[in-house]
Amino acid sequence: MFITLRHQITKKEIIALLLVGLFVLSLPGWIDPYIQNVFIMIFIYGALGSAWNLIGGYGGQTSLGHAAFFGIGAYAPAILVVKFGLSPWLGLFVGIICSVILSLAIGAICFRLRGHYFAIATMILLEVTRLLCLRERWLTGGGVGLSIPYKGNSLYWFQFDAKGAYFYASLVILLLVLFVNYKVSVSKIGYLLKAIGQNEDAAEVIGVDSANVKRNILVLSAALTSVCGTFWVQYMYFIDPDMAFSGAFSIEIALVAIIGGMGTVFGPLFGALLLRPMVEITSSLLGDSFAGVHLILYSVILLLVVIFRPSGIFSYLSDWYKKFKLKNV
Amino acid sequence: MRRRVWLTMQILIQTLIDGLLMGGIYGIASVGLSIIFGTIKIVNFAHGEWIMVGMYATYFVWSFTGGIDPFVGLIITIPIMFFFGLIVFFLTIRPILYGKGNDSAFIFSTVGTSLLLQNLALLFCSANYLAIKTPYTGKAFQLLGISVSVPRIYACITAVALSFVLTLFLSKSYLGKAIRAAAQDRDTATLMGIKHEKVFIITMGIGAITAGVAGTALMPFFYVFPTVGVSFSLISFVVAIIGGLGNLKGAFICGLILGVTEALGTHYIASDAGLLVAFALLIVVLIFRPQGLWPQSTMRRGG
Repeated sequence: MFITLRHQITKKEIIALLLVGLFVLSLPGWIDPYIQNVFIMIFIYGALGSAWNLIGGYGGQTSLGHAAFFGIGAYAPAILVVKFGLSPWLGLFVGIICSVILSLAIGAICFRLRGHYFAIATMILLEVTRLLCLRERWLTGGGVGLSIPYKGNSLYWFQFDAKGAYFYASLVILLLVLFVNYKVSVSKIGYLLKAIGQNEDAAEVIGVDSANVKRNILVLSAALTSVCGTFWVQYMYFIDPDMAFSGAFSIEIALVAIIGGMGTVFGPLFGALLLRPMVEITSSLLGDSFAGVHLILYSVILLLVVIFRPSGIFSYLSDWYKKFKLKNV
Repeated sequence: MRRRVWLTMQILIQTLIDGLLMGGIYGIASVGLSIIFGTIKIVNFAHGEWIMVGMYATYFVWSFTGGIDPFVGLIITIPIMFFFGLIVFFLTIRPILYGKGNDSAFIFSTVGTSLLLQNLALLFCSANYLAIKTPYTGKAFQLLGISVSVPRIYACITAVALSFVLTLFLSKSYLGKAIRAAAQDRDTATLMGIKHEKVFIITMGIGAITAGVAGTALMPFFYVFPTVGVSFSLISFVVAIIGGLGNLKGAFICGLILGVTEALGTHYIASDAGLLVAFALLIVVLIFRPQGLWPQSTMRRGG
């Protein structure tokens, strides 16, 4: 809604946005740590979904292997801290660089393929990274995973005693990814991507270098996903191959965006806002004995959305808001 | 010295045979994936989970009948899988086929189906590994110092027989010809009076049957758990891409090639490198021949 009506943002809307912003900023001050954790998960899943949205939503290239970038972003600082005693800030950049290199390789291999082939190839490349990670025990600790040692409350080690710090950090990451999404949606590359997503052959006929555009956006998406991975490992203090490079996690990333609404700035965040509390509720109601229940709900919702509302649940909200606005102007 | 050479040869032949026997199963799994892609033009991302369902079906048929031979149990398993395929088609494919979705909607719906099936299995069958016991489980016969696993021989024979029957069905029967016609050109086939929805239903049923038979063939020497399908999905994707999606003969041959590659990798590189070698093969194929080894023949000559 903010894209299509961005020249007509009214004063009321600005005030409402400011109030929501202030409310979110004040949250760590008065909610308990468990709920803060739920919010952090919402922000990170929202950020991951939005990063996926760049290539999967705007570009229409369904990636089922985004966890590879997430995993690299998580392993880079973990390895640097555990094996070399270096700051995770360095790990952040190493992770981004490695993810960019991997995404360039994936782009070189996969962008000659289209549609289903791209989805399959990303899925398989994810499995390759997982198997490599399991094998190279000297570097990654193999299946045992890596635990980050506690170094005390410091910005240098990106470790904090207060949950609030993680809350704000994840919020910053979310806002960064949303900003990139917004920039892409109103810039030339966004329009090129939309053209490719709608009809790749037609886009190429009118002179869009589709392989180049897709590669650029994949690199951007990979770098942002990697940042989320770095945050994740700093927040959880632990990473193992089955978490970092899991196919189910890749699908969860994509689900957030698909259910929320692909190709929109706020759709993926909305998806995370819907799905994450649901996970928390089912796991607190049913406990660990029904580990997969939230995934059953996920997949049923996914099927319903794909069948009845391919544009995502967020589009209900934005349609309603447009009508509301027209009525009141 | 001579003895040593013979031993090396023996090991090589042993590895090749193991690979070929496993490759038969990969082949039949990929044939199911390929026939669905060739006809309905969707990649079934839940194919491995279909195999998982087939394995569970085999297990429950075996345990409810008090230990019937799984290959005899196929008379029950095959209809179950056929109806399973129909249910999946009507619930997750048909609404999109005639709805608003585009190409990637099929990816989402089949991925959703795979997630759903995995977690339903986790919920109702628990994460425990289940296996069945047959008189020939673990049996092997010796041939010139090479041991050949009996259940794997049965599995491979079943796979070859099924793909032979399938080829025959596609090339000789009226329905099979209709499927091939719809695979080549959906609109023209419709104009010729072929009801393409009927063709799709039958195709989904056949795909599910091949997955079920693959599951049955696996059960005497394998065990089933909710995420068993993931690796089979990946392998059938690799096979299908290398063989060229939609090409049944290519799919089966590549299944054999992949089985051998995996066995060689497992034996000669490292015990956990088998799949990596297979994926490396895929990447090489993607770089040098992205259209696959046998491209563009959508079941032209019935195979």
